[in-house]
Amino acid sequence: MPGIFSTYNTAIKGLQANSLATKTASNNIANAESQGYTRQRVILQESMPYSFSKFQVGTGVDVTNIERVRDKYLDAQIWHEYACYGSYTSAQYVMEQAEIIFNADETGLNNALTEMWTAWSDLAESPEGTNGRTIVLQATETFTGMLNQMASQTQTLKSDTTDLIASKTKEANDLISDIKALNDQIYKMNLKGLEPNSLEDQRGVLLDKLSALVNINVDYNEDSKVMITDADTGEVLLAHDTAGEPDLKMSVIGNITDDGTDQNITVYRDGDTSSPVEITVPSGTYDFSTGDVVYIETQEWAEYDADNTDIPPLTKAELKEGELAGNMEALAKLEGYASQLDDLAFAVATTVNYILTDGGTNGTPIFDDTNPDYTAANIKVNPDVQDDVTLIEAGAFGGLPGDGARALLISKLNEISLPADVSGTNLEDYLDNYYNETEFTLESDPSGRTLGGFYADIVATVGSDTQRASNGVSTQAALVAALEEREESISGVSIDEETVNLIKYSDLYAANSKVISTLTEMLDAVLNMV
Amino acid sequence: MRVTHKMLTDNYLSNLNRNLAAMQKSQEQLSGFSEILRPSDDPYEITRIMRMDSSLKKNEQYLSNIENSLGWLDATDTALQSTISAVQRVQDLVTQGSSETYSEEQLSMISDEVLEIINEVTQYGNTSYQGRYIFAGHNTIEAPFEVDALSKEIVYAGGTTGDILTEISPGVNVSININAEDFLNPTGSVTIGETFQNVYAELVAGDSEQLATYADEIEEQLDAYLALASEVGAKTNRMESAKEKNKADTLNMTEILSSIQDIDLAEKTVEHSAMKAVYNATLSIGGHILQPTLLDYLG
Repeated sequence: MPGIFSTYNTAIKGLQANSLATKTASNNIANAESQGYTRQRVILQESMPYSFSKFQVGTGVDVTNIERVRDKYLDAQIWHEYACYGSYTSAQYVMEQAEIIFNADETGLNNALTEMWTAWSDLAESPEGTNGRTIVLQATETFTGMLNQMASQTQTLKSDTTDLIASKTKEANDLISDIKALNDQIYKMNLKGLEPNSLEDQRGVLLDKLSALVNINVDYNEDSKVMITDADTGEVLLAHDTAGEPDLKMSVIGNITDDGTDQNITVYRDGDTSSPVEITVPSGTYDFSTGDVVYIETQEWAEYDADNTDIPPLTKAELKEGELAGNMEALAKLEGYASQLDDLAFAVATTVNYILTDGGTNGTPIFDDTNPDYTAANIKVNPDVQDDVTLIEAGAFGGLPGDGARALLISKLNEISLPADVSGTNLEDYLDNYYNETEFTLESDPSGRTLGGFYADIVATVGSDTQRASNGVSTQAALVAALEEREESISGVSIDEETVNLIKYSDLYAANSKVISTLTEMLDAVLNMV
Repeated sequence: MRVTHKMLTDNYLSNLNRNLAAMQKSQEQLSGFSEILRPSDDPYEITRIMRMDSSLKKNEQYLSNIENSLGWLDATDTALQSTISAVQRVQDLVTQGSSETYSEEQLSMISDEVLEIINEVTQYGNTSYQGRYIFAGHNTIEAPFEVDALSKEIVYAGGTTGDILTEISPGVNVSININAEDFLNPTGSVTIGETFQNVYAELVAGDSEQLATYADEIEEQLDAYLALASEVGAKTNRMESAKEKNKADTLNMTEILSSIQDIDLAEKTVEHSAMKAVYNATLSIGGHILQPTLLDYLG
């Protein structure tokens, strides 16, 4: 028969359970604004009853679990969207700086180019003397100076972006190591039968951070360990059973040169720029560019460390989403703008020099043609012309001082369409065919574009790339916010709800206390009978 | 759906931020007085703006070319008109001298005047504009004509041929000069120098009969100069109309440019005030939505 004393047990279990529930509610309230905190819920279950006569008699309440309220499916979704968001924000970060370099301002390259044609037009108007020539020289110097500056700014932005990729790669590697450590701790607590709720929250925060950098897939095993896979390439970044270092780590290509026999590659090992590793492989082994993220197996590094001979194989990480991918994409775009700018420099210098020298047969070029592969970085004014502006020929060779026909043609380069593709010998071929050195005419290439058009194309490309990134950021931000709201709706702490819980459980605690005092009265009654 | 306080605050903050970002954008446009401040604001329009900017600059240059040419043509016209008067004067003198009533002495006096005119016409031929000899062809730095000391014939000194070209609109080159040959030999057969020299020689010789034979030649020269002058007049007209067109083009382009990039001040200001009102409302509402919880109502 159930005695009074066993009912004491029931009451005490009730006290304990409700005190635990009150504690959980207080903890939820305390952590309402903590980053990564998942609200916890006490799961109460009635204790195993025992049979008495034909009845089952209850024995109170048990706390079976303090549960983290979390939707793992939603987590995976959010991590993926973080990656998308990351690719846009990181691209935008770089593009907005590129936009400052390739601007359409009144002081920009477009203006310098127009000023240069205007100077030639002035020279054509009064070709006698040095006055007009000095103006042409100054305008040309401004133009080359601006190109040089833009080239160096682009180069700086490129190397800054490479450093950014390296530091983010390092962060990703560190995050994976930290997650691995948490995996182990969570596993140990599970073994002891403890609930590692706060550790799981911490791991969640790290996964949030990692997912912004790399698009990850996360898989949980029965030990609550996570396996992390790069969703874009399928490479396993952290296995369930990784004991020491992860099998694979990300490194960054710093610099790569190929001299025809050897390829020299600077590798920022694990993203660490402070001690780059220089490796040499046969020419043409890899098709990398600066800022590429590569996977290198940890084991291979260990072998390389032993004797510095076995060069670890590098596998390019074809990342599509995440901040690393966004920065890599932006870097490729910068490369594109730089080469378009080089095309412009090449087209201007080659065409103007060609007209000034009748295709290199006479006269003096205004752009230094020591290296005729003109780029935005190396274009400069011929020092001979800087010393003596009369070397600029405004009319026919051996002609008279009032002849400005050659200068007039150059001033019209603004409207003349050159071949759109100036690579190889395209431009020279065109000039050979279309330039008339006696009439001073240059016919437009019907399918070409003007030199002003070259730069307008660059600005339009930079503009639309930046616009695309910014639009991506705002759309993706809205999506992320919506998902975060859903997550908050599931896992977030509601103060009202917890207050209700607090009242409910403290009332229940009081009720259980009342049970005990009632039992005491009952016991008193029994004792007084004696 | 469960709603937590964090959702409310997060939502509130993100809306506040969005309002603020929109305000910042409109403030930037207002203070920069331009719709398009960077390429990404409108990548398509920015290239139109750039082209328009270059075209406007070029157009300014065309205008300065046209004005320069007008000055040049003006100088040319003045020189030609003076030359025409001089030829007319010689024509008068030849008519006078051809009448048999003139004595040798009188003819000799006329010859002095003709010599004067020969020097004058040489001066007209050596007219310069902004330091450039306008009838010298390409050799603009040397005087194109001189008077031969012995024969008193006007001969070429540095004068040559060659067109002085100027660009007055995209791809349109106009030659604005009368070169040395056209000035000295407008008829294409006998130069004015030779005609004058012959007239002078006959006057000095006192041969009024011979003098009379040059009347037709002078008439031809006069016609040729008049034709030359009307050619210059036609060019001047062309330049004047090019100038009008240039100004109209500039006006058009400026208007289009302004319609693309300038803000409508009234519209933007209204828009901005509306944004400010929304922002203020958001701020004041913040105080209301963020305060209450159940705790406020528990004794």
